[in-house]
Amino acid sequence: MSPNLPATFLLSSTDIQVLNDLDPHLQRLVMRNRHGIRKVPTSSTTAEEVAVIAKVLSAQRWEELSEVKPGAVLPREAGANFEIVTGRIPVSRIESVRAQPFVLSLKAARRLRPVLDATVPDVEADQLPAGGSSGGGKGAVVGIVDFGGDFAHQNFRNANGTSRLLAIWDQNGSPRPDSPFGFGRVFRTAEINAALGTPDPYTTLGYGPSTDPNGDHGTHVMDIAAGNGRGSGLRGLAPAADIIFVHVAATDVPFSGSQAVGTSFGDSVQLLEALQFIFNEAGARPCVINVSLGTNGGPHDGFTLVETGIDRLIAQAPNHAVCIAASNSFSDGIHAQGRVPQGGSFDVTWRIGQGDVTGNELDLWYSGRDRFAVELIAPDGSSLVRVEPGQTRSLTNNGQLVVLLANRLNDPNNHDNNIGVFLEASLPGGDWTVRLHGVTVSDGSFHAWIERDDQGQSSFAPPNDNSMTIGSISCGKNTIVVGSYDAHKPSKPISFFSSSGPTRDGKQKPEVSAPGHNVMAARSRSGIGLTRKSGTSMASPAVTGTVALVLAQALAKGKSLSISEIRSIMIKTARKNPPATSPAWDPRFGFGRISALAAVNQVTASAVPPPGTGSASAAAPRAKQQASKKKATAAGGRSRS
Amino acid sequence: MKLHFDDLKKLKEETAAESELAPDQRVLAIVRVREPGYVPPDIQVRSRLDDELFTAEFPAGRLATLRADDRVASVELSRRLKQID
Repeated sequence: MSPNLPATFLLSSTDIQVLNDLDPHLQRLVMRNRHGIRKVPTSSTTAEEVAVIAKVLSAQRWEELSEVKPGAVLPREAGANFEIVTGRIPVSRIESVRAQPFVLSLKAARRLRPVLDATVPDVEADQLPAGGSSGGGKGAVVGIVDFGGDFAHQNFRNANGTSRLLAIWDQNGSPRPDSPFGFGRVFRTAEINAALGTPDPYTTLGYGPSTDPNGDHGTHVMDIAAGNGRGSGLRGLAPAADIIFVHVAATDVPFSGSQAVGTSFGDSVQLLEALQFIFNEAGARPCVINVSLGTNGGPHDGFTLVETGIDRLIAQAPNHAVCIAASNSFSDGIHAQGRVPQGGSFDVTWRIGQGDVTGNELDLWYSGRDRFAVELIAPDGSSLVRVEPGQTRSLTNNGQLVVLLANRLNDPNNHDNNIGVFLEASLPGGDWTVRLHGVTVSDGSFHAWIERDDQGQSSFAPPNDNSMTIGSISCGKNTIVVGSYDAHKPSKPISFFSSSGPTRDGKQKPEVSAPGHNVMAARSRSGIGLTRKSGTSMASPAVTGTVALVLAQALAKGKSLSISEIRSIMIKTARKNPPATSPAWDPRFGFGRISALAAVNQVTASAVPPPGTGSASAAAPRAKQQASKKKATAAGGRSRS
Repeated sequence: MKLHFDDLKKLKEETAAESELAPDQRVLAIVRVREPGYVPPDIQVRSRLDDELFTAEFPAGRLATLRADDRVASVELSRRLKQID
């Protein structure tokens, strides 16, 4: 490519050649999606998906595609060697689906058969005996750290109309003297019940879900884990558990690089404080918390302080667990790895779209025994800057920072080395090269991740290594990380988006998988309604609810479970086929698909020691936690700026 | 406004500061200390996770001295975490 030729021209030509095979309506959707313009949702599709009609060689293979939410299979004409099928697919996967060899034609369509919820029956929770000792999670507390919890939805209310929520902590709320850690506002059951008795409970309480017509994420997640179905008719996994919801917030402090915009986000400090708040509120009761937060960057070895903090909070007392969504980045091309030779170099190609209007960030980790220099080469071949080990350099244009390269040695947590590359939005798109030079090499291996950017995700040039794409806070020792599969299909395929392990240090995560594809659950601001969402965020609460059932069963049997025992129960009872029985762990399914029935039964079958007889692990950490709670309260008396 | 490739050759190189943050800007961080119970001076503890780990708030100008403090093992500025859909 000529350095003087605008790169947009060439890239656009390439893209349109691919799109020419598509129905023009779908082409337009793809192009609009690439430019960040969302499709308007309809009664049968969400903003991210499109209804299609396809001509295929095999309806079975069509329905097996994890991208496809099947609709109808039309009767085959006599002598025809193809079938006509309908379905819904994500806009982002239109081209991928069209490229399948058995897909002969793909066109925009409507009129689809509804898909029924499958989570509870698929994980065999409906086979637990009514009135059994797991009791729908009775006695356990389910914590949800998310965005938009609709306390007024009937699925979170008792038969007499009162709330099942013990507390809501709105971290964005105006602080009061009793605010945890000095910020946000807590609403407890009495306040929530009082608000529910008014015509507009959201205004009365001063907290409520957004007006998003698709419903808020947090309400949907909370319903999968603990909804009782009183309003919608579809229940979640632990319908008798008590609930604590934290609407997580972010500070306006940039942690690095460009500002994240256009999506819901919290931050790592507020996440840790949310977890501590929930465990403190639960007190001595068994408690499992669901988290659907993460990013792409980070060392992916569990050594960040936020992961260390989560691990320690979980381990402070028995009957505590935290489940985290694995992430939805499998097919985004955000991970690369390689080996840099002594005295040689290795090129990593970083592809940034011409229409990308936001900054981009690359995070690279390598052994603390090695020393790499890093060179940044622009798409026109110009070498812009080389940064030696231990240096940080920037490039400016008219006083404005446009490039920052940091080659940092000896991270204090894992003692590895870390290279960060930040490209500001003003830079042109194209294939950028990050050239790694082996200055001193004993190992030479590295892993790199591209930070998530919902306004224009850059990627590594294909072919992509999609391993190690689980989220940045999903690599700790004690968390349970959850992948997603499609429970609506007989073969239970892994969801195309469900991120892959292992961690950079070889930990086998995700541990388990659950239904996360086209899951029907509560829609906020509907009172009784449902909405459909897909993602590992929908799989994780199925495991959270199952852990609540396990904890309730243990409570009823007078047993106390350490986090290692909880993890062991979930892993040992996970079902195979899929995934294959060998090897024991699959990088996307984990050890298998959860079974609530088997997990609850395992509590009774396993030789778990009763409280107080196993070790000091039950009593001492609890005392330590209570002491910490007092200190935290004492430390928290401040206003949030 | 986007730069053109020719503009890239004109970019000015300079050694970057460790942080783009103003010294008096308040930041949130997770702090791990080597000595149980130790709290560095002039920082506000928000939440104590255990004897060695706590969340804290302080001016960005304190970052360098915190990292130079032998009794501080690690300081991690609060990271932005996005919702996983």
